[in-house]
Amino acid sequence: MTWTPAVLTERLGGDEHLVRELVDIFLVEYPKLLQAVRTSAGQGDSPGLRRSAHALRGSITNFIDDGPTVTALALEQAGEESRLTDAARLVEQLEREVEELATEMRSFHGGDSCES
Amino acid sequence: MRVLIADDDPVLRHALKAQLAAWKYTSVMASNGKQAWGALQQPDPPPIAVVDWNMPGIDGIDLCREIRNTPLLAAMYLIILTGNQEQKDVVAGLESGADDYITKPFSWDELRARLRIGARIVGLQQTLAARVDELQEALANVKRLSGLLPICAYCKRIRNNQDYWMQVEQYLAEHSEAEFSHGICPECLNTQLSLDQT
Repeated sequence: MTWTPAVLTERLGGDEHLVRELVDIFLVEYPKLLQAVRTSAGQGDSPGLRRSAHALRGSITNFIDDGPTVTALALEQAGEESRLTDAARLVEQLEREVEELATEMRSFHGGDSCES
Repeated sequence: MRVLIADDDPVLRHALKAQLAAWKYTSVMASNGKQAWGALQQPDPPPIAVVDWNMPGIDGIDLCREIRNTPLLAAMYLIILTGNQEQKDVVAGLESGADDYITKPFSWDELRARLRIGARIVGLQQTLAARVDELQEALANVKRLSGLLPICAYCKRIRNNQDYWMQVEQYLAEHSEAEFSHGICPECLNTQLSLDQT
């Protein structure tokens, strides 16, 4: 999984300032979304897992199509089908992938250009 | 043209607001279905809406149904923008009353093109509605000449609503777009000539 800011910047008409604003918002919001996934999986709450994983996936999809997006979708489907046996492992994987994405974003936000 | 954006994802909301402004649309923002419904109750609601499916409170599907069941909003152009990608979801979305269905992740160029379609259809509907208003007004004027008119069997004057007996041409001129030019028909000309000679 690699997040490429330049691709998003190009999609948004070359507006790098907007990309930085979106990153800012995501970095504030994702811990709450991740916590909701963790909580619903921990409580065996299938509808809650479906909703929270869907919300997190929607937010991640603004930046990247693979990695955590795919894992969040797997959790969303597990919640929809009330099939939670593998949920704990998927949540751990999702946490790793989302934190990796957030680290890349912080690095970008630290001053790296979209062109790098 | 104004566009209602209803999405609970603050990242996407911000991106949509910025992009729509760049495309010369004015956004009305809502972070859930209830807020969106509230915005649509205001005077002169936006004619286009981009609506997420999964939102707290009223979801996008119920919102589309409510809009279609409300006569004042029924002509809105509705686009569902959602991560629900299965074919059954697309069908359910369109059956709820949406005009278009876009799945996330989406192409910004595609969204722009689909919004342009919405704006064109809204423009056509507004032109059509204005034309219908004009026709209804014209029809109302035509109706003023219909119904039972009391006319004198001898002098052919018509009695108006104020009980005044008017010349036919005066009555018609006041109740229609007709104008009169005065002449004399051959039969009356002969009659008049005969009278003059006697």
